[in-house]
Amino acid sequence: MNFRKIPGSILAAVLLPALLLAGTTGKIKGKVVDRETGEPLLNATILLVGTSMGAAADLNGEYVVVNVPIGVYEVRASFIGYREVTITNVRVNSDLTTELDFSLPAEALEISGVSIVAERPLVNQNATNATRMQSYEDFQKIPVRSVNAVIALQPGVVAQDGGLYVRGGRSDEVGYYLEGANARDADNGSNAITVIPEALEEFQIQAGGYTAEFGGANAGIIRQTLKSGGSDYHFTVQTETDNLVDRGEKFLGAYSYGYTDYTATLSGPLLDKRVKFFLAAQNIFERDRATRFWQGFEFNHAGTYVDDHNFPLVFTTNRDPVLEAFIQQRGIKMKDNAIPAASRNQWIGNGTIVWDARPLIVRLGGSLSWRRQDDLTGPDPNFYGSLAARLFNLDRNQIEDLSTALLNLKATHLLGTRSFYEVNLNYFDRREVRYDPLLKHDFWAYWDSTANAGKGVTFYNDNLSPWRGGTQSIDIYGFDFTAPGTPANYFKNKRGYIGGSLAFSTQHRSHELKLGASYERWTARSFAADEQGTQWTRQQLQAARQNPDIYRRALAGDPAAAGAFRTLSGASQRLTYGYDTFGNEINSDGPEGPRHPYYLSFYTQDKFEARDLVINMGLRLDVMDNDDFTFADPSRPPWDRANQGLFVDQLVKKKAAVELSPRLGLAFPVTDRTVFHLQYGKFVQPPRLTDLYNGPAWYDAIFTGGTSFRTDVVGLGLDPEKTTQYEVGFSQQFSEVAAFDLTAYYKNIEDQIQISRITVDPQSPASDYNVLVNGDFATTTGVELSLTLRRTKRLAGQLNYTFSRSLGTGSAPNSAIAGIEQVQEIPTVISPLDFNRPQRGSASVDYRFARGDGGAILQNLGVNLLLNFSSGHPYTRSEGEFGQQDASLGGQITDPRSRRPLEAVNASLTPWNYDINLRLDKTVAIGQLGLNLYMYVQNLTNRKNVVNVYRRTGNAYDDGFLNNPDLSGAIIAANGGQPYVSLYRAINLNGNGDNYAQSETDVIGLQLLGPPRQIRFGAKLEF
Amino acid sequence: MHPSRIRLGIAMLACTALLLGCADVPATGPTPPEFNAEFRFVHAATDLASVQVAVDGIQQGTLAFAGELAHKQFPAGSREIALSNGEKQFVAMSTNLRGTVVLLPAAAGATREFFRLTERRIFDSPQRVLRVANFNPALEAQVTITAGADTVLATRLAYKAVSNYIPVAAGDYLMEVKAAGGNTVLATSTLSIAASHTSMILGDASATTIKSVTD
Repeated sequence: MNFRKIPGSILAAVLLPALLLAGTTGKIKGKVVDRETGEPLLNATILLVGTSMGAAADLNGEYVVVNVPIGVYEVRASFIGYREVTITNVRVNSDLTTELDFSLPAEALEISGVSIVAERPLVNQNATNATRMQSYEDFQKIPVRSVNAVIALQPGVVAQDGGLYVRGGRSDEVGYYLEGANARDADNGSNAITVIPEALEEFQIQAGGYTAEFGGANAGIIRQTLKSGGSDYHFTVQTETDNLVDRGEKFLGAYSYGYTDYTATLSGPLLDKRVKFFLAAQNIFERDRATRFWQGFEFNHAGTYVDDHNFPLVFTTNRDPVLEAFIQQRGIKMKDNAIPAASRNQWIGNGTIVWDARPLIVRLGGSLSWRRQDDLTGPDPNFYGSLAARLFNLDRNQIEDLSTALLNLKATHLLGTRSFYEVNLNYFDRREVRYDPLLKHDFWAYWDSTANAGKGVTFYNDNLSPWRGGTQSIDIYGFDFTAPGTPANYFKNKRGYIGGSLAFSTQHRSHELKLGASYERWTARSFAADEQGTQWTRQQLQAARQNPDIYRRALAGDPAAAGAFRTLSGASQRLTYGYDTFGNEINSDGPEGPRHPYYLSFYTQDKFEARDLVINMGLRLDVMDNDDFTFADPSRPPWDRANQGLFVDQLVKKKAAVELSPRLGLAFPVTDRTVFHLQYGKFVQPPRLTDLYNGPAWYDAIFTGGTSFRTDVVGLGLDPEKTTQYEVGFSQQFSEVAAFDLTAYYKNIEDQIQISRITVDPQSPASDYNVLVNGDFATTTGVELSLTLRRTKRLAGQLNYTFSRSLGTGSAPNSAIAGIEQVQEIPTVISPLDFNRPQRGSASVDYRFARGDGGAILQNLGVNLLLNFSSGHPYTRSEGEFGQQDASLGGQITDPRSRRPLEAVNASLTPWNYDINLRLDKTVAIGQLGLNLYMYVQNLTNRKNVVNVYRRTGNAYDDGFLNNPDLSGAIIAANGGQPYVSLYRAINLNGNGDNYAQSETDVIGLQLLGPPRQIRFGAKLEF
Repeated sequence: MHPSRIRLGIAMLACTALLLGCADVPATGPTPPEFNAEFRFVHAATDLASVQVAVDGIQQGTLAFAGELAHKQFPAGSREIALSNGEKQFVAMSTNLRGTVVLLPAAAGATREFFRLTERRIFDSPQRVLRVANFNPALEAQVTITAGADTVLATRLAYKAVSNYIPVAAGDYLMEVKAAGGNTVLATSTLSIAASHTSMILGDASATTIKSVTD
C-alpha cells in the first residue's frame, strides 16, 4: 500500500476527527434507584466528592461520568426527597468502567445518610482482555521496591538477564507509556523512563490483546500513571538503606551494598484551588550496584601460595619493571560480594500539575531523571566484560551519565457530559555519554601524554601508551588486567521525539466511541563506538598525528578527507551518525546525518457495553517511516571506495510501511461473578533503531570484509514485525473473597529481525557482508492463572502462575551469527527460545492488623511473604577445543568455530529458581503524622539461584576446564601452575562467572547466579 | 498574583527542571588539537647563492651559505619549501618534531635535497648532548672531539651521515675534521657546549668549515 497515494483530505475526513495518546482516564457508570421500590430516579445527582466531576441520572436512572482521572474517589448520589448515599474507596482504572449503583432511601425513613465503603471488584466485567493492575497502595506492601520488579511478578512476564519478556515476545516487543505518552526507547525497545514508586497512581499490564489505541509494541504494554494532587496538602518523606556495615561486612547475614534511597513527595493545591500539583523527588545511591555472589581474593606480596583466595602476584608477559613495581605497591584485595568501582547515583523527579477549569482541563505530567554510574566494563580487548579486569585501574574507570525527560501536556475539553476531546503535546529526550573520569569530554587528550601528565598520570613516553612497549594491559597468570592509567573510551548519543495528538471520545447510549491519532517524530544521533577493544580515541589521535594534513582537511569539511581520516582512524566510528568525525552535531541528510523516523497512527474504536455482552472493536492504521534506505541491488552495493563511504545518490529511500491492524475483544458477563473474554488482534511494531542505523564507516568496513562475528549489524530497509494473537479467558469469583482468572493465548509472530549474509556479485569490489533482515518467526502459547484472595480476617493473598511454550527460529537478531559466519544454513525450524521458561509464578501472602486491631503493639503491623518460582531457561549443551581464546577464558567455548553442539538447539534447561522475600512494616501515629517503619529482605534464604550455566557442563560452578587435563594441562603449565588455577577459580568460578558474559553470550553483565540476600530498612513519614 | 503569571511561573519551572535534568552531552566535540612541528633552516650548499625561503608560500627569511633561520613552529604535515631561485620540495614536518631542514648542494643534474635532520620532540627538555653531521659532499670525514687529553668522540662520517647524540659534560671541546685516512686537519672549531648541540661539516672539495648550532 502506498500511503502517499492516499489523499490527505480523505484520510483526514475518515480518520482524523481526533488525535489521541493512550488514555489515562476511566469512567464510572451505574444506576440510581429508589431503595424501596427500585424505581429509577430521573435527574438524581452523582458527584465525585472534592471534584467538579459528576452527572445526572437519565430516564432509566442511569448515569455515566466520563474522563475520570484514575484514582480513588468518594462518590455521592443525592435526590430531592431522598437521603444521600456516599460510596467511598471507589477506584477508577485506565480505560475501564467502574460500575457503581445507588439505592437511595426516602427521607421519610428514619435513617440518616448512608455511607458505604466500596470493595474492589474481584472480577472486572468489562475488560475484554487480561488486564492486570497495581496501585502504589498494592505494591508498597510487597517486598520489592522497583516498578520493574513488580511487573516481573505478573502472569505472562518473564524477567531474565535484565530483560522483560511478555508472552514469548522478544524483550523489545513491550510498549511502555507514562501519562499516556510513549515511554519506549525506540533505539532498543526498553523502558526509557524511571518512575518513583511513591509517584505512581497505578500501573497496568496488558499482556497482549490491547485495544486499537495502542500500538508499536507486539507483546504487551505497560502503562504507568502518576498521582495527581488533591484538595489538601500532603507530604511524605522516606528513607531506605542497607548501609549499616562496611563494604564486605555482613549484617543479619547479608552484605551491605551501600544502598541509600531518599524520597519525598508533596501535593496539594497551588495558589488557586483549581490548580493542583503532585511532585516526587528521589535520590538513590548504590555503592555496589553489581550486587552478586563473589568470593573475594587477594594477591599477596610475600611470594607464597597460601590458598585459592591468597596467592602471589607474579607477572607473566609484557614485563615492565616500573609497572610491576607500581602494581606490587598497589596490590589487590577484593572482599566477598564487594565489587569496586560499581557505584550509581540517580536523581529522579516525577510530577503532575492539573488546572481544572471545566470544561477545560489542562494536565502537565512527566518524569525527569539523571544518573551517573561507573561503567562495569573496561576498555581492554582481551578481558572485556570482566569486573576483575579493572582492578588495577579503578581510579580511571569509565563513567556513564544518562538523563531522560518525558513531558506530556494534555488539554481536555469537555463537550457536555458525555463527550470530550483532548489535545496532547509530548516531548521525550534521552542523552547519554560515557567518558574518562580525568579528561572528561576531551577525547583528543585521552592518549596524549602531555594532557595525562597534567592530570597526574605519567605515560612512559608519547607512543600512545601509558606504559613501556605499548602496554595497556598487564598479564598476570594469563589474565590481562587493564594497566593503571589506561584511559576510558568515549561515546555519546542523543535521541528523542516530539509528538502531538488530538482525540475525541463520546459515550452514546451503550457505545463508547473513540477516534484518534498520534504522531511522533524522532531524532537519533550516535557518536563513536565504545565497542569492545577498539579504543578508538587512541586510534583517532594516532591517525591525526600521523596524517595531520588529512586531519586538517577533514576538519575543514572536505568529504574525501573525512572518509580517509575515518579509515585511518581504524574505521573506529562505525556507529557514528548525526555527528561528524570530530564529535560535532551535523544536520545533513543521508547516512551521515541524524535520522528522523516518524510514526503516525490513526485508530477508531467502539466499546459497546450491554448487561451481558461487551464488544470492544477497533481498527488501527500505522504509518511507520524508519528514515532508512536500502540498495537497489544488495549484491552490488553502492560502495564509494575512494571516499570510504556510500554513493548517497544510489541509495534507495525505504518507503513508509503502512499496516492495518484490526482488534476485536468480547466479554460475556454471565453473572456478576463470572465473565468470559475473547480477544483477537493484529499488532505491528517498527524495528529498533539500533537495528537500522550505522554510520558510513560501518558500510565501508563491511564491504571491505571486516565484519566477522560482529554483533552491531544493521538492516537494509527492514519491515515492521507482526504479531497475530488470540486470547480466551474466564474470570470467576468463587466466594465473597476469592476469584480466579484463567487466560489462554496463542501468538504467531512473523518478520522478526534476524541476521543474514548477502553474497555479492563477482563483479562487485565488495566482500560478502552481513545484514539484518525480516525472517525469524515464533509461535508462543500459554495459560495464565491468577488467584486473588481479598483481605479477610487480616489475610490477603495473590497467586500468579504461567505455563507457556515459546518456540521460534531465533531468540535475538544475532542468534544465527555463528551459522552465518560458518556459511551454514540459518535455522528455519522452531526451537525453544532462550527466554522460554515453561513454568513460572509468584505467590504473595499478606497478613496485616488494621488500625485498632490487635492492641497497641500489633495494630497497623503487617507482614508480607512473596515466593517467586520459575523453571529454567533453555540452552544448548556443547563441547569444543580451547582454540585461540585467551587463557583467562579457559573452558568456555568462546569461538563458535570450535564449538560443537551436543544436542538440538536449546534442548536443555537450566535449573529451577526460587526465592522468598519478606517485608515487615508497622505504622505508628505521631500526632497528625504517620510513621511507617519497615524492613524487607530479598532472597531471604540466600539461595544461590543458578540463572545461567556453562554450555560445556550445564553447571554454574564448573566450566569443565580445570578438571580436564586434556583441555587445561598445557594452559595451566604455561601460565604459572597453581596460582593460575587459583586466579582462574577466583575470577571465573568463585567470581560468579565474571568472564562468562563475554564468552558465552553477546550480552555484557550476565551472571551465573541470581542476586544474594539483601536487607533494607526504611522509614516513611507522611502527613 | 495574576493567574497568567502563575502559569508563566509554572512553565518556567518546568523548563528549568528540563534543562537541569539533561546530562552534559555536548553538541560539539572538544576543540581539535593543533598538530605542530618546529623546524629551522640551515644553508649548507656552496653552489647556492643567498636565497629567500618560503614555507607554504609564506616568506621565512634570507639564507646565505652557512647561515641559519631560527626554529619556528609550522603546522605538522607535508610542507612545501620554496626557494627564491624557483626550487621547491615538500618536507615532512612530523607532528611534535623539532628539527632542521638543511639545504644541501645539488649533485650535477640532480635535484637539490632538502635534508631533514631531526632533533627531539618539541615538548621534551633538551639534554646536554652532542652530535656531528657531515654535509660536505666531497668529504668522508674523520671527526675527533676532545676535552683536554680525553677523546669524547672519534667517528668517521660519510656524506649526509649523522652521529648519534652523546651525553657530554658542560664545557669547551675541540673539534677536528680530517679526511678519512688522511692526516691533514681540514677544519677545527672550539665547541662551548651547554645544551643539545649539533656541529655540521660544510663545504666542498676546496674548503671545509664547521657550523655549530644549538638544537
